[in-house]
Amino acid sequence: MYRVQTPLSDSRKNVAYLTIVIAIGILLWSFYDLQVKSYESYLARSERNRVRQVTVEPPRGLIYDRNGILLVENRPSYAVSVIPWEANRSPRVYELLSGYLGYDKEYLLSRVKKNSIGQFQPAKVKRSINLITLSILEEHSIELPGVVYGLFPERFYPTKAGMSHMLGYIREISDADLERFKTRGYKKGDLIGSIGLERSYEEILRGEKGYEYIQVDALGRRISKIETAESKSPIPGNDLHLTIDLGMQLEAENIMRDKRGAIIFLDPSNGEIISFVSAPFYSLATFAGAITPEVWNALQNDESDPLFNRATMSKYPPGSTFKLIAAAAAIDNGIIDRNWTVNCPGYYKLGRRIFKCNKFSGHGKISVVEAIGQSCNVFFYNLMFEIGLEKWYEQSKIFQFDSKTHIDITEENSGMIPDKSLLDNKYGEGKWQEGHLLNLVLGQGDLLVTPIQMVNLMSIIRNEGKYYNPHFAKKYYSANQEIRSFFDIEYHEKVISADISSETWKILKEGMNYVMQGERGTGRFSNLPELDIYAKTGTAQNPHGDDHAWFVGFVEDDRNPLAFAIIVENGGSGGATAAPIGKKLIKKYYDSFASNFALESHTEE
Amino acid sequence: MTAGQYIISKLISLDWLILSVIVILIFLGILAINSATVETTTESFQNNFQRQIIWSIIGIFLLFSVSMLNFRWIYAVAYLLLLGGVLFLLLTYVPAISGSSRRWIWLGGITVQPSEFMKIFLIIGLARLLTDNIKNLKKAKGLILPFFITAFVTLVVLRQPDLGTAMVFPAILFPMLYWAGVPTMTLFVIIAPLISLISAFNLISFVLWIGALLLLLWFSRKSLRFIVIMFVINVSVGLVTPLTWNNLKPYQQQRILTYVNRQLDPRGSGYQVLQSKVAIGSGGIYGKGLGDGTQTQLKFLPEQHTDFIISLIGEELGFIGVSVILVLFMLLLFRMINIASNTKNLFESLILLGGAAMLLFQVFINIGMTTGIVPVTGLPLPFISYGGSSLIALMLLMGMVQIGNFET
Repeated sequence: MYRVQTPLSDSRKNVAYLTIVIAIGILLWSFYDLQVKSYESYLARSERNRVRQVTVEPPRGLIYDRNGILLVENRPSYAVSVIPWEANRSPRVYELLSGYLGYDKEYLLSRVKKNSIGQFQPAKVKRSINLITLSILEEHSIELPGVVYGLFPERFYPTKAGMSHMLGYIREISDADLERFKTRGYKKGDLIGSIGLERSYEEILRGEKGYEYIQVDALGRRISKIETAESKSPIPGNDLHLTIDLGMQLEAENIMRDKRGAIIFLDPSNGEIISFVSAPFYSLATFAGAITPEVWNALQNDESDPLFNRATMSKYPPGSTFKLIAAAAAIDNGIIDRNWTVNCPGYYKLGRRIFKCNKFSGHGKISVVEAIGQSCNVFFYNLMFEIGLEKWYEQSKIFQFDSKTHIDITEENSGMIPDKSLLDNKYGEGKWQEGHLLNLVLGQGDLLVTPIQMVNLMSIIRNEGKYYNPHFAKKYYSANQEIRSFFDIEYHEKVISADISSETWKILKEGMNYVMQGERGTGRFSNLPELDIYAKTGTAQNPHGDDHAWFVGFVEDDRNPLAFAIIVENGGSGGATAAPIGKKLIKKYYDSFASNFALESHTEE
Repeated sequence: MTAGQYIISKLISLDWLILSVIVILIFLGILAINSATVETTTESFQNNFQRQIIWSIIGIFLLFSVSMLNFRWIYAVAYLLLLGGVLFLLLTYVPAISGSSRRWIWLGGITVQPSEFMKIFLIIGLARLLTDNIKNLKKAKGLILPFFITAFVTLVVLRQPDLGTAMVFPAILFPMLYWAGVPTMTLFVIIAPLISLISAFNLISFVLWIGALLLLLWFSRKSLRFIVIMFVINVSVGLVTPLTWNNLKPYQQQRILTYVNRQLDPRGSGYQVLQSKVAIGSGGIYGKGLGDGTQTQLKFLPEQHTDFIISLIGEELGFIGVSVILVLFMLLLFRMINIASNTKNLFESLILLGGAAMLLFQVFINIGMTTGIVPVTGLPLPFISYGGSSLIALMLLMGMVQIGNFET
């Protein structure tokens, strides 16, 4: 029972006493060391003492185009912070400071509260202040205890290009991100990539913060760095090299300057994006400093929606470009062969309704290659009844229209491909008509795709079943150039599952070649005879206004193949509006190689 | 004996030395908390000072109440108390009453830290467990349950996460096992791999440790088989740890460190320790005087009323003030060991020893971190740091110490 007591040996008692003596002795000795032996030096330090830890921000990585032209760099700018403990003791500080910074006092206080991480840590209130403001603050520093400022690198865009949707911008970290990335060392008020490449490559670009201990005087002004205390230099972010060609990018942006829509050019042999425009776009310079609520609201309320990334997020009816899917479904399932023909009188009668062809007088007897090349509606009406909705839907899935392309920015949507259940849901079972099918085969109705999906389709056809995730990032270097890393191309390679016959690919390509080179091809006026171009035009009706103009395709070239998708919202006919844009850009792209070649041979001499 | 006579005889036999030490420590703590909060405009800080006084009064009342009890009664309800403590602790995992970090729970307007009470209930539970199994302690059989229970509460508290408090539980268990008569060699076999693991982060310390281990084993006159097994186990732990660790990516290491201890912010704690050392060092022998510490009064020291209160005392009361506190703690601990050694009652002896182990561990870790000889982990300084849960739990323990004195 509990009264049982084993006799305690003296040794255990002694061990207990000894442990206590040693532990207390060590503590006493450590106080003796600090308070008696090192008293003078600690006293001296505490006399002046105001030790403060400051974070040293790393410069964010730079961003280059594929030819090494600088697209994004950093410029020194100043940020003002408030140390709440010191500022709170003289309440006039906030009044004065809000005047100098041009803020409401309430807004200033809310900034301090939002970015505060402790009574003694500086809370950032405004960044990118100009030199005039800085000198005013410097002059009045005696009346502004607790107000400090420091260098803070700010994004700067040395080129004329917009590239806003691609590059994205950095902003102060949100509470949600702070929670999500709490193990990665972010603090309130830190900057973080908000959208675009700045966000997807945040880990590569951000670098590592350093810190040091400094002494400040009674007014909170920096006196010196404490050399004896442990400090750490910041590690700059890596420089990111993109696949973008600045020349092509500028040209494409220029063309789209007064239009809405998107242009994507990429290399189908590896998925590298060469130019990428979503129009209208905005100026990234707006986002370089602290953006004011007015500017932000103006951008958000702008009717043309410049903040919206049309190239990857906007869903459009694909129009006739989607006839390629119907053709592929028919051929690959053995429903038709290249000799199967339809007689087009210029219209199609379904019950009492008349469906018109794009050519009023009719195409006459027409085969699948010619039908693609001339975009004959009547041929595809007939074809759609042969294929049926299910096979058509399956084919669009094989060509990846049910998923995102996983481009390396996070802002991306998938399109919408209707199947039987979707139509049943929307219109009621058996309520939708055969007329719906005729709409779908023309790329109208409930069918929606994104421009990036269309350019992906072009890659798949060009590569006969293989594609690479479209991507912007090519490689990155550490700031001292010691470590160079390439993003793995293998990683991007995708092979579509179905085993599509070579005859299918052949016929699709012949049809797309006919578009450019056939005597009645819908894109023939935009052909470039010296190049091997395959394309498809599209004119998508849109219930809200003028038709959208599409031009999608690829250029076959041993060394520099190209795939592209162009859409101009309300641009009218694809052949008349979008195709000439394609022609101009394709010409520029291949001219640049010619001139490079000329330049190279010139310099070699 | 009437109830009145019982109470009076109890009061007379109270250990007035221990009582005085406790009261002086609490008084010094209140002075320091007042000094830390006197210049503060924030209301919550002022309230801290007033609240600590209220807690102290309640605490002393509890001490007297508990000292009226009898160890026979505590023995009877020991397992119930242990179970209650565990359930109370698990309440921190109930989202509705616990905060975002799960250390505290909300009980009708006040926040309580169940892990502080768990320490005391674990001591009581282990004391009974060891008393009941005193015959089995030389075999593994008798050790399994104490280890299991301690490991369980340690992990629960570690997950809150609260590394500092979690470490207290093993620091209670091992001395109690030793006191109950578990052979030193058995404890050594259990602890050795842990030392191997920690020393393995530095080659020199690891080589020294393995050398010392071999010497110890050699002189232990154990069988060669035993020596070889011990050697192999410890060397392999030492080899595997750094290999595994170094193969982790820096962010993974960081994640593990952060997981184990959310306060482990190398910059934050480095700043704290630097400020703490400046405060203590500049206090000198006599101190700057209560309320005159520049470091303290400028509020450069975070958490100066809780975990870093000794830095404030060091600055304002100097080496003399700190020495007084350390000597008081030493007196208290000596007295507890003394009572524990002289009592004929094993259950009571073990409670006193467990309590002493807990006090010594907290004093050493808390004060050691303010002078930079121990890494920073959150642990209050007994009797002195601000905090109701810690103080009340300690006073319950000290009440039991008083019964011990009575029944010796």
